[in-house]
Amino acid sequence: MTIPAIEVKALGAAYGKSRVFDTLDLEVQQGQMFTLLGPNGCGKTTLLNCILGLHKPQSGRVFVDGLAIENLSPSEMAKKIAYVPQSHKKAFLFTVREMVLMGRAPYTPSYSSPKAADVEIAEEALEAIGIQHLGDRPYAQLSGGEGQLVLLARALAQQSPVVVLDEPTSHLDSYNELLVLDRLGELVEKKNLTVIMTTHYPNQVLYLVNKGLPVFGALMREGKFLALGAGEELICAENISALYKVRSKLLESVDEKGRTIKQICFLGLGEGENES
Amino acid sequence: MKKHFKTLYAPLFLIPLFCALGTLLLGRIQVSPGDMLSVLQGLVFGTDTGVDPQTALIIREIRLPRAFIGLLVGASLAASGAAFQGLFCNPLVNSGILGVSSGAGFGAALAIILFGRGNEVFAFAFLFGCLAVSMSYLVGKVYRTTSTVMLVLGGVVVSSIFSALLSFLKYVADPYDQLPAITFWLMGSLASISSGVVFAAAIPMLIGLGGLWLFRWRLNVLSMGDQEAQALGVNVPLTKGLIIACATLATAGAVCISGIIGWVGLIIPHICRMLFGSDNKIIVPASSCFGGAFLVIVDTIARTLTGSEIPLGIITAILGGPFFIYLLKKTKGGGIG
Repeated sequence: MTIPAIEVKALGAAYGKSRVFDTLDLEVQQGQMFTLLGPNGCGKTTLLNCILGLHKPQSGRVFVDGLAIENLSPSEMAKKIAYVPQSHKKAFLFTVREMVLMGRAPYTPSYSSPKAADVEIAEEALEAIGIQHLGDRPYAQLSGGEGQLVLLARALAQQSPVVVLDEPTSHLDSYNELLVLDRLGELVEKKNLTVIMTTHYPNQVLYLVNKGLPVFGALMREGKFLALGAGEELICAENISALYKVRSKLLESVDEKGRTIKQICFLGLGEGENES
Repeated sequence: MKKHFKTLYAPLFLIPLFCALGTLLLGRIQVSPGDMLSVLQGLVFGTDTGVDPQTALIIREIRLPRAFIGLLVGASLAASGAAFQGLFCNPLVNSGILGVSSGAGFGAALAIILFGRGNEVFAFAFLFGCLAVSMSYLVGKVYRTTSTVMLVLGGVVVSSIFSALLSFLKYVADPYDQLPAITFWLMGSLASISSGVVFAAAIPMLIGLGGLWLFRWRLNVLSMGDQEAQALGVNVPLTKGLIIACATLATAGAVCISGIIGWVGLIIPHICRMLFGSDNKIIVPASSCFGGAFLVIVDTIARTLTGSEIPLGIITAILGGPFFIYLLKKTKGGGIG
């Protein structure tokens, strides 16, 4: 039996007295594309922060690669899990190269700075994500999509087997959304990384399923998992209607290569009149 | 990055060196470059120089310690300014953000009232500067984390308390003797230094500067914000504490000997960013060099322009402000805004 990349056992978290979730159990296997789907405020981000060790859980434990995260130092953690925040604006004008090089921080002692080998790894990460041409541009002046790719390259430079993303495609237009999702797919397929991402959109999960990626996921509402499992089984009209309290219909068609493609179509608010 | 290293660092270190040598020549007694060099040679190799003993004494005992401490004070203020800007993810904070200047000002005023103008002034300024930062840090740790907002709030609260205490001391001070001394100290000057004090104050500044130089690349990662820095593998509370400690040693060492000199910690890192980009690997050394050079120039003006000494804080603002605007226009802020 293989050790799961991430294992969450009876996890409970709270902000002060307001509880976010009580007993969550979750396993993410190595090489999976794991999508965490749910409405705003359902606890997705808190769960991610617990997995990253950024939020201290009230009860339960998180294991990375079989190791309890409370026993790992920040740099040991960063060597196992890389975090891609939403594309953000920063006060300082770091170049894209300097940003990506920060991914080498867990391998660099506090009193030192990255060596030639680290610069090489950062360069390879830029190349893998396809943004070498942006190398000398100030990160703060890039568009949202380009910025997200830079943060992805930084996570890649971190060389950790698990990459965690918090709504990586919010604020992005369709082109950039697919660009980011395609790059994530490549990380799973070519580099055999484990990707965990949160999203609001069921069709994003189906897009990855349609591409034939090993998509798994969880539907989360009010601090509980409504369903866990493989992407194509997870995204159906009943589940999505229950998740968002909306009426929806699953549409199927065939693409130019004869593969089945699926999409969720939203019909309106309210839970009644489900069709599947 | 590689090409920066060799082409940039050597000229960078030459700028403050030339400024320091230049200031040895200037003053009420003009010294020729030849005389100055032979005095320095005599100092290093112990040879007899044949220079007029009085001139040699002025260079050795007055101008050289003053140039040396000017370099260190400027470097300390500018480098800790750059460090705090990175740490607080905010390019507008300066080295006094955690209350070191207010604390030092109060300490100096207290010593002037209690002991007159002895070396106690330096010791009190240093200790109260460090005390103020420690208090801000403890306030910032109320919620067990050292979040940026809490630290800044702590700094604001502690600064205002020490400012109020300073106002009280000014109110009760003897208006003919102590009050002018306090006021002049607060405006900043290197006039009161002596070689004994120079070495005592140089130690914290050198330790602080050394620490900031070591941690300078980490500042880049910390400027991403606490959560991101931790996810990038940085032990945020420990690294933050160490950088605050180093910046405080450097600033308190500087302020205790020079009084409160504004602008250097804010303007010099900005000038460096406009010229060299934002990477702290370059910005911390560049700020140290430019800050040192700037302060030596300002101090030379302060002691040569008129018969009496002009406070440094006045000149740094008058010179620094317009130069900053000129650079903003020239480099278009290096892309800011």
